[in-house]
Amino acid sequence: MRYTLLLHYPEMDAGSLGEEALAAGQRAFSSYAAALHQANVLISAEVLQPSSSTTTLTKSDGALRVQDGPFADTKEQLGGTFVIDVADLDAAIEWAGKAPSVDWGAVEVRPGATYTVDGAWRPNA
Amino acid sequence: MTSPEARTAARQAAEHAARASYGRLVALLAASTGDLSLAEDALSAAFEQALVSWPTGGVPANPEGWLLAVARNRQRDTWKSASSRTTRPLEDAALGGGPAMAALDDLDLDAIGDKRLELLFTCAHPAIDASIRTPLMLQVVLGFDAARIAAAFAVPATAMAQRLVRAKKRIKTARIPFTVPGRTDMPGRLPAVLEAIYGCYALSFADAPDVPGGSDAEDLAGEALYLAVTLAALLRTEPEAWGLAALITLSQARAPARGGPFIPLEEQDTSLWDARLIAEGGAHLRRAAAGGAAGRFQMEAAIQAVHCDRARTGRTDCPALRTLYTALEAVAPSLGARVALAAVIGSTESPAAGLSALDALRDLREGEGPAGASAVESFQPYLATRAELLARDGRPSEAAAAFAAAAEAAPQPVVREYLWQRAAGQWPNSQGRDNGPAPLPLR
Repeated sequence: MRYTLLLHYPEMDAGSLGEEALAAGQRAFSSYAAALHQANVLISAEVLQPSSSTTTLTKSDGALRVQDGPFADTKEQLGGTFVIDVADLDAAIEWAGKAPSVDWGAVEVRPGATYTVDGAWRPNA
Repeated sequence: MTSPEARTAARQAAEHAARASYGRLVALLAASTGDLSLAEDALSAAFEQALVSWPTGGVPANPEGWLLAVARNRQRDTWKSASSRTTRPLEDAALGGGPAMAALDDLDLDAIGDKRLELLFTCAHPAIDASIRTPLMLQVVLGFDAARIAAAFAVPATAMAQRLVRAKKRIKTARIPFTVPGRTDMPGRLPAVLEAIYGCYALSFADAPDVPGGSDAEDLAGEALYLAVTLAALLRTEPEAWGLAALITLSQARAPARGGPFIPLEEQDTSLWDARLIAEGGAHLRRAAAGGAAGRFQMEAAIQAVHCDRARTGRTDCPALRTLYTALEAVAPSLGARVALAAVIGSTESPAAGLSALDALRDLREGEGPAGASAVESFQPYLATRAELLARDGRPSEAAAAFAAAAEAAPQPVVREYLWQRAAGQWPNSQGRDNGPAPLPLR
């Protein structure tokens, strides 16, 4: 069963965060990814660039609008995702609780519905 | 040939199986799919089929096994039709053929293990909204229909049905497991299960109908007792599970004194109390105490045990109550425990001391903000206890106003009636008692 861990947290730039905290965070995410990999549950992971660099497309009245900025302008932003394959929600919750960002933001555990293999959709689990 | 006797026997057998094993059968059916709705539909179809086949063919030797086999066939048919649409492989290819009817009597549910325990933990999973846990248990473990649950919670039936469907869908979609947590996770997970079972018991009080006997409230109390004792027995050595079992058993022991007009606990005729349940509750409490550190339910059970002991000794051990309420307040602070403690102080020291304790409680909450004080002042047990203490302190006009306020806030009609009579200066249902402790917020 696939779950996507959605990491939401307040965005901090490298300047206000400080070199040391940034490096500590990177180390924590490295060992988290290594642990997921070693447990053979990691499908993929991605840490995103800050929402200041995001671009949002919307369509209204048939016209495509391209806008600077995130879809929802909130204090906490989606900062990264981990897709894991585990037995059930309890296992997913256990991994989610170990995500380093749980110390400074929310981790959402969302079951997957379908995913693609070689471009074809497949039901989850 | 369907005789009326055969129909009656078949219906009774089906009803017995439904009551005794509904939760077990649902748990067994849903364990492999995670789909509670599908399991419930399959089981209700099996019950329907039983009511058709049993009167003519006779009640099978193993009714539960029969129901399980028929429900499993139903479930498989649903999978098959679903799999032809989605090409999803069958969950369990080994279940391919229908079970031979001859093998049914060999199907030993006890050997499979009691899956109700798993089901209780699923219903009270942290990923399930706390307010729907008790309704979910009532439905999937005990087989109450949505309309009855809705009535007990005083919400519209359609709203309750929708919430139950959503919760079950969530269990399936998010794959909330049907497992009993391991030793490390147990402390974090057990309280929600106990809370939900306690919620089922509390419900039997909240909406207690005026008419004694055969009511939904009595059913709810009985089912909560059954769930609590089952949970404690299945977990074997969890102190708080035995504590809850003891609490509900001892409280239920006093149920025969509850029908009819309201009589405060201290004035109830102890000969009406159920001696067998008092003994059982005491045994549960000893099992709880054997497990070590005393938690909230164990202390509340000990408080009940002190009250029940009046049946044996003829008096209530108020100093013991005071010790227990003080300890309860330390372990699990609550408004109810503080008010009860004030009532006991009113008995062990003086009514004035009890009133001071109530004032201190209101002032404490007031310090937390205006909402805190108003929460205290609208808390019915606070109002009732204050009224009683004022009356005993020899302040009749203040007591009358306080009894009226307590009556306004009382949810149960019999309590309201009693408090209005007290407001009018009468002492209903009393044989000239004078110095007993104030009525606790317990009945």
